Amino acid sequence: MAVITKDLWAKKGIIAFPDGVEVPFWGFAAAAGGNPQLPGPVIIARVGDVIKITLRNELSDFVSLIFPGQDYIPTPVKENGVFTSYNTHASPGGVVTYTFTATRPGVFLYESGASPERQVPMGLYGAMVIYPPGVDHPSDPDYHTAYGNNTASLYDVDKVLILSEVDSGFNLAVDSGSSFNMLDFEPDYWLINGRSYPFTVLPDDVDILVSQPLGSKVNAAPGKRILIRCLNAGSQNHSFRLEGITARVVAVDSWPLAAGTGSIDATYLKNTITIASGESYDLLFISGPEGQYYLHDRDHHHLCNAGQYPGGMATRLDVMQADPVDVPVSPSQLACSVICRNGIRLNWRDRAINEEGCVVERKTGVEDFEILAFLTAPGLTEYTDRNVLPNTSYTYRVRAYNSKGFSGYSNRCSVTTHDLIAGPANLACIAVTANQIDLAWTNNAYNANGYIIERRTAETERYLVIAEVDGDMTAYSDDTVEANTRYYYRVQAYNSTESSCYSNECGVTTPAIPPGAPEHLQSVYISSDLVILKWDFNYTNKDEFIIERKSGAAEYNEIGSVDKYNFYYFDFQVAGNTIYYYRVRAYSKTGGYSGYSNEIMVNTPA
Amino acid sequence: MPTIDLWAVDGYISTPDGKSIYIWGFTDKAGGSAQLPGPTIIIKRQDPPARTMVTVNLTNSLPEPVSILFPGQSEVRVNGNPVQPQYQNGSLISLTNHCLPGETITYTFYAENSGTFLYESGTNPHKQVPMGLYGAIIVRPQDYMPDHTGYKTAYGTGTGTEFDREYLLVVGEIDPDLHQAVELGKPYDTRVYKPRYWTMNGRCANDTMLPDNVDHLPNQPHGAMIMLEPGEKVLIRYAGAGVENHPLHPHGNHTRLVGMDGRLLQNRTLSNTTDLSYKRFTVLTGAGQTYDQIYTWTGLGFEPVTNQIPTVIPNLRNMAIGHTGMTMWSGSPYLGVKGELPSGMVSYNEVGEYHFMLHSHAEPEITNWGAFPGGLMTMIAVYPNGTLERHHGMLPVESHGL
Ligand SMILES: [Cu+2]
Repeated sequence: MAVITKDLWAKKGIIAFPDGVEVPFWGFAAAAGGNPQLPGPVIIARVGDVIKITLRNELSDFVSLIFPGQDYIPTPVKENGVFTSYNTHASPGGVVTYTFTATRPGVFLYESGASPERQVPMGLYGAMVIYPPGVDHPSDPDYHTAYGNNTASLYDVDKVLILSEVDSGFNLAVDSGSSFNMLDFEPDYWLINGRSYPFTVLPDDVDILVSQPLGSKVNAAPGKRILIRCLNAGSQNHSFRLEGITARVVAVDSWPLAAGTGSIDATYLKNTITIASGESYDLLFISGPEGQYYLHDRDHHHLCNAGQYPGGMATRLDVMQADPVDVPVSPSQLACSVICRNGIRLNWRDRAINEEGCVVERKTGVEDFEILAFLTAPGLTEYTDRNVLPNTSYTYRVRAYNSKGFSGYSNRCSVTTHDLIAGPANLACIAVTANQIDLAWTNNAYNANGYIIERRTAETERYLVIAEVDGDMTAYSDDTVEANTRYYYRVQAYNSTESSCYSNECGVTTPAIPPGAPEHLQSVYISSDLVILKWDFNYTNKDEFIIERKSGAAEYNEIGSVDKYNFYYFDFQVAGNTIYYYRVRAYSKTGGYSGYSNEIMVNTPA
Repeated sequence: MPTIDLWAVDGYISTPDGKSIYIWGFTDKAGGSAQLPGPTIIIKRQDPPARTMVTVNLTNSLPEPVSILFPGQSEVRVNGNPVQPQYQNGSLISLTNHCLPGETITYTFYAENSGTFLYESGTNPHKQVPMGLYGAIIVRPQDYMPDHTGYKTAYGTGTGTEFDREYLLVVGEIDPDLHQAVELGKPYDTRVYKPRYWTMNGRCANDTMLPDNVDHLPNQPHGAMIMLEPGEKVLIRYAGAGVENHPLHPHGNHTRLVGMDGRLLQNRTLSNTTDLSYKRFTVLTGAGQTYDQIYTWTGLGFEPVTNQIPTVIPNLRNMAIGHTGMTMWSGSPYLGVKGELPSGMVSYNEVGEYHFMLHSHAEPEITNWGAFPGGLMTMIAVYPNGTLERHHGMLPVESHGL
């Protein structure tokens, strides 16, 4: 029995994502003046230990902690009769201490109990891992078990994976004290141990991620018993897939499914498991042959960083004969050369035998180096930087990493881009009609075999090639455009060996056109209390259909509308033995109203 | 040893509200169109010690790399080597080896476990799986003999998984904006993913209730109507191919879950067998997961002479369905009896069978773009004993031969 004392400082910090985005968060630091961490520091104890957590609040909100799954009774707090916290809180600048005894093994959350709808997604959560007392003693029957002898939880390697999400807009709003409607909470980053892929596969404690010290990649030799302990600290459910692996579920919410001699063995096999918010699953399997095995959310949309694959909630098991004992040897002989169509090509010599990937850094002029790319595969010796400008000097350096950390940097290489072939210039674009944009440019190139024309529809989207034309052309008509849409273009010349840099970019918005009128309006059902109308179905350029009716010599009145995907209207507001006239028109936000359909007459029966 | 040739191609599917949606998918017919879901692969395991090696040749006719993951299968290899994730310029593109446009690669695996499995793209999966590059695999036990009592089982004789009929329901979602963006070559941001259609075997209700291979749904060949007789053991296999979780349940009776992800819910030691199967009303069909269940409709034994329904039967008008004058109702609350219907009502009921729902209890998912009925819904039809033809709910022993 020991007393595990942990001081946690609740404070503000910054987390980084692989696409270069940084957002503020609230987290727990493990030392005075230290950086807060996402997730909070892992608290490790043995069954029987007394856990004493002192929370020091450096935020301007009340903060408290709750300990789901522990034999611990929280003290809910009311202020002026209003519920404010699930447990005794620390006021801003204040301190509160929580003490309880760890009574059962498992992986547990600790998380904020004050304004948890904001504070938990802001980052005020962490994990506690409680082991059986004999976990470290080779002679003890509980040695290297998660839940004790006879619980099917004997492991060689255990790894805690804490799943969560970040909505960057939410973090920015809450941190700056702006209001945020929680109904608008929509994550754009998904995390394992506080990082998004590929940061997840970087080692622990890397210098570029000061507030996200925990990697989540697992290294193991073949034939080892691997225990993955998945804990969902987020607010979404995640269907976690072990790619290429079928694991045995040995515990749910830290209740072992084989609970010792005499009890039934209720463990079962899964390759994917849906882990609800707040739940935990312990998954055990034997590592297979050497290679990479992705551990990831099977909701593939969570494999993105701000909408871009790959990213998000993915990490990896690397099965290898021997774990690296040291950081990799640094790469050498870095060289860079311009290939304008593709950007700048880097080559280096990989001198390491134990690296897991590399980080490429770049700077222009006298600026600081910035991370350009994470290369998440071993053995790479080249990279192409496709995001370069003409007549600009770039300097690069590369370093490798493995589970022990980063290598030193390679030599630096510098290169200045130039007009390999004097590229097209003076690109101009004109919207001739709603469905045609004409492009023209100046041909500065010699030996151009042709031009590649690329288009995108918004500043934030990627360019896509839409056409190639011969080298003697200086104009192109794009008739694949839609009305009332802004398009951007750029043009590039190429010959048999190389390509020019891109032309200037031009942008133009096509005019709106009114939608076409609905056709063939007819009644398909007529009774004394219902008339069903139908018309021809074509939803291009329409947002909705508006239905109008009159009876006798009265004016037409709008009686309803249906969205563009409907082609029926049910008119329940009819009387028997009455003559009605109907007509329908379409409406689009950009093009206004269409003309009317044909008019029909309906005579309802008595 | 079974060999399956698959082509990754494009095509169109139809929804009951009249839309045509562009998909990417698999076909097992050279020159064929994409099918939703991909062709069901049914394999019968060899008698041990022989191992059942399955070969899948994938030819890619799409404009970007495509791959196939085989979760739950053993020793998946490509061209003889263990599969590995693939990177482009150091960045992950595929969770397994992929096939470049215009090329063919060969996957092999050993079918070591009986049950229901998915196969699905591992390349740009945020786009390719929702676009339709998925399908199901059924592995039958080596002692599977459909005409022998006790040997028509999901997991082998003696595993408590005998069945009389079986139905596979592969569920997914469709966000039409994704499909349109891919069709037009426009970028798509997964942050705006919002399904408007939910599919069972690639169809939305009410198309789910149509038979297999109807002419107007050439790329959605599989219906999802469950037809059975009272007391029969019906094996229902759910496979979650979408990216969301769907709470599915049949009305009438609960199901007994006997296996998940192609693994029998049973633990065996030399001396002991622990049956872990359990009954559920609603099964949360999780993304990328499968659920094998036995369903038996027992009913309450009401019949018009000696065991009458003890409550007042509502008037006929309140039992009619819709304004359009069509119903599946027999006109009688008693199984096997056809009764009087309101005048003008046309009944498609055949022999006094019951119809009731199997659906997603996330009710917005039983619509087509918000309009009920639609989406993740089908019907269970209970036929009076001796009236349902044998071919209903009969999947072949093997799909692609030896
Ligand atoms: Cu229901």
